[in-house]
Amino acid sequence: MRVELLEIERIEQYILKLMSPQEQSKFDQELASNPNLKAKVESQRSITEAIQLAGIKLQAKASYQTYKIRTLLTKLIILISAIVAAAGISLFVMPNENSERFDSESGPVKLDTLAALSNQFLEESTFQIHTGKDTVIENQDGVVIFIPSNAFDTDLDHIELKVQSAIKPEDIMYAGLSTTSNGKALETGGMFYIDALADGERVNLLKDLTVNMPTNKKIEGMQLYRGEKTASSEVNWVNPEPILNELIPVDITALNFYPPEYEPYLNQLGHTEKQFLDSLYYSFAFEEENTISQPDKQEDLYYYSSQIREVDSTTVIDKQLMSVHKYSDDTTGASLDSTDDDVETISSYGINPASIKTIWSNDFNNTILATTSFEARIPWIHESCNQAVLDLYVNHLDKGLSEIDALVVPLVSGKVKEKFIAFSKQGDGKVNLSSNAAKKLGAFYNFKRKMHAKAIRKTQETFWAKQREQDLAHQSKIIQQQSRDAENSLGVLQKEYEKNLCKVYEDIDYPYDCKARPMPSSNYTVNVGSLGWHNIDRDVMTATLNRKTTSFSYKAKTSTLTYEKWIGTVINHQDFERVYVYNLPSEFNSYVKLNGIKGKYDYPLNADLNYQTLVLAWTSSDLYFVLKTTKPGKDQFNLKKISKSNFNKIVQKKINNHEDLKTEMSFLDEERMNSNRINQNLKRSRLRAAVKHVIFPCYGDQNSSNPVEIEIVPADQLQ
Amino acid sequence: MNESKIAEWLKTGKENKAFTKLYTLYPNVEKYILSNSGSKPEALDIFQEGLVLLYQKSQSEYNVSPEGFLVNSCKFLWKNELRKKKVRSGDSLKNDYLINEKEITDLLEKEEKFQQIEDILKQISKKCRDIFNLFYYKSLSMTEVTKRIGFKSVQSAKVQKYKCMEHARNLAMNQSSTLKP
Repeated sequence: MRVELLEIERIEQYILKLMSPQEQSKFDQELASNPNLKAKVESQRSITEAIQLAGIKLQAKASYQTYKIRTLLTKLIILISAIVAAAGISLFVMPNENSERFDSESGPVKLDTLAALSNQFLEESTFQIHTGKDTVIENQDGVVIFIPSNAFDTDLDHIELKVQSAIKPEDIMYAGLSTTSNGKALETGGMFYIDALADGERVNLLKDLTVNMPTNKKIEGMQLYRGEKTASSEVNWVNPEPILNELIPVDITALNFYPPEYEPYLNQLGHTEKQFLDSLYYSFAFEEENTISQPDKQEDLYYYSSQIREVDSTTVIDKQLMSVHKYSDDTTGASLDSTDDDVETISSYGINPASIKTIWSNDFNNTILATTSFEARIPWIHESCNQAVLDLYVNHLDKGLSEIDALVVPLVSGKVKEKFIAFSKQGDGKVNLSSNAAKKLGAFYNFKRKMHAKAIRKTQETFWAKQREQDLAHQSKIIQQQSRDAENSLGVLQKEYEKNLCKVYEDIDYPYDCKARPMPSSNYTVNVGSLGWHNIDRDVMTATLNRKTTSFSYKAKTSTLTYEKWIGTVINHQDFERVYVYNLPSEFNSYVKLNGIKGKYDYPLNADLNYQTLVLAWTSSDLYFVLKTTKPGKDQFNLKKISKSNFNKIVQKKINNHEDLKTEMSFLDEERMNSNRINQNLKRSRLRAAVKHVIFPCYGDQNSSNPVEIEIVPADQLQ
Repeated sequence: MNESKIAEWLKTGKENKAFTKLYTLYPNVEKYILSNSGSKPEALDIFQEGLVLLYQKSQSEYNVSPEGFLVNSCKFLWKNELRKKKVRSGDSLKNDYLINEKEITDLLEKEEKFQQIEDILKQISKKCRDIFNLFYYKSLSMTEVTKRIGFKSVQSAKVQKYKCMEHARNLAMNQSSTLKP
């Protein structure tokens, strides 16, 4: 801060007595020796005191009003209870009479032929109005006044417009305004006073002003009364005129056209972003006269469900392959049998989101649709579940809202009907719109709605076609992987058999080159038709297949193939989305993929082989891994989080020569990405299924057990 | 009416309470003025001026009866008004002896000075007047002032307040130097 400002701060503290005694005595000394400072202090003190006094003066005036309302209240409570039902909105009016000198200097309105005693108790807003321009003003109570250009009988550029209003009961009471018309009680919708002064002189009106009074509840039969000052300076209400009820359009995008439950429901689920809400809602758009068929849909569903089930439940390879087609979805409750001919007509559900998308745009600004009055009807239009109801409004943009309400009544029933009857009685008018413009907009609506429905449909289809393509590509990879796994397991089996056989031959000194023997291509090819050596071969094969310790004897010599029990447990296996366990015999360039139950993996180890166990698992976001030497007995695997690059390094180093395993690892990586995509799609499907009943309120009535749909396009993919 | 309570309210910044209570005296004052060639609006003006004088008086150490002081102030002010209007006052007014008359005169002089400053304050911006009103009259903290006026920080509100004061003080000091003979 500048030095001068710092000085002012110090003086302020001195005047307001905020200084410590030491500071103050120091300041006093300075004052005594510095006349300049003293003058500054005096001046600042007078200013401070003058400000305080000005406040006091205002308070003295304000307290009068508090006092007055207290004395008025007792009388008014009696009056209010006496007001019954004679309808009538009260008051206003501009002077059309002779102009008169008016003292505009003093703030509050003074008493004259128009202003009554009550004017003194109401807050007054003064607006400078440029007489040559259209102007809209709003006062503190939300009374909005449209002033057309050249509305005043004056040559001056500017006039002063004074507005007062009494809308809340307390204001009406406070101002002591009556609600009687020639002694008859009125029900008031609020009162206002308008005065116009040009250079201090009251001016006449040449054009009508348009006044909008705020109200929470429209009451049938309200009229405009003119205030007439009585001899005792009170207001009597006379000359009632019907209210125009012309609607004032607002920015249509600021209104809410969603089904009533939709937004609260999604907000509850944590979705608040307008873009997301829009795209989800519009994704339900349908093309009229068309049915929505769902080809391939169930297939997708089963496919997804097979992917998300618990990995431990996988059994043998063949079954797993089959399950892609056969598995039924536990999570959604849909089953294969219930899905045939699943073709449905959504149009019977209710309002087409495509039509909402069309009208909820700037093109419909300045129409009856862009009004808060129409917004109030939207929940009931959705509730009616009848597209024809919405279309009535859209096709009659040049009619008054309440006129259209009357047309809606025969189309609806029950509670909705009652509501539209009430709407039709509100006497809501129209937006000033030429019938030509209305027709053009109506035609535009029909065109646009079809376009939107088509575009949304197309986007959806493209999205899901792409998803299906990816699903298919992935399925063929799965088949490759499964045959690779099968080959590897078989490879290990063959190699193990060969090794076992050589060991047995050697142990019992059988003079035969074990390596020269043709490899049995499978367990069924072993010839069991003759005695002798073949027997041993077959026994070795059986031992290898069963993985059981077996002894062989030949000429008093014995050989034993030893299999040791091994059970590996993956700790916290349930925390992972997928878990894969591989045993890698160091002697062979292959791997065995193990199938476990509830995190337990059982694989007897050949005592003549050395194994390593590799466990790989992932959650939706992270990769976990462990690699260790396999020892007989029980072993536990505590997985550690690992980055993708570290994992690659380890795999490179430790299992470098394992081409197949490397392929397997990269497949798993892809699988992981894919499962994220599938989960995402599943989530979309579920959300969509869940939200359907709020979008189409009548949907649930027709069919309460609905199959899950798999059709939704993420927000960023919809234009 | 509990007089000491009103005096206490006036001293502790609860003038709104005190004033509302004191308005129960207004019908008497109005009657007095109406019966001495005054109108209702004039009566209200006088009463409100009387309240301001009472407030000023109550800020000093010297204790008075708030009601008595108020009624006397109103009478005195009305006499003054009539003198200005050159209306001959009736005998009943002429011989009235008013207690506290001297103090009221002093206060009125002081108030005239404040009126000049009030006029000067009309020349500074509305924002400045708002800050002044909230801080010096309503005695709100600068944090609250910052919030109400919409400043970005308390510091910038403070700087603005001192700048406003500088501006007002310059105007006042210039004025008083030109007023000096």
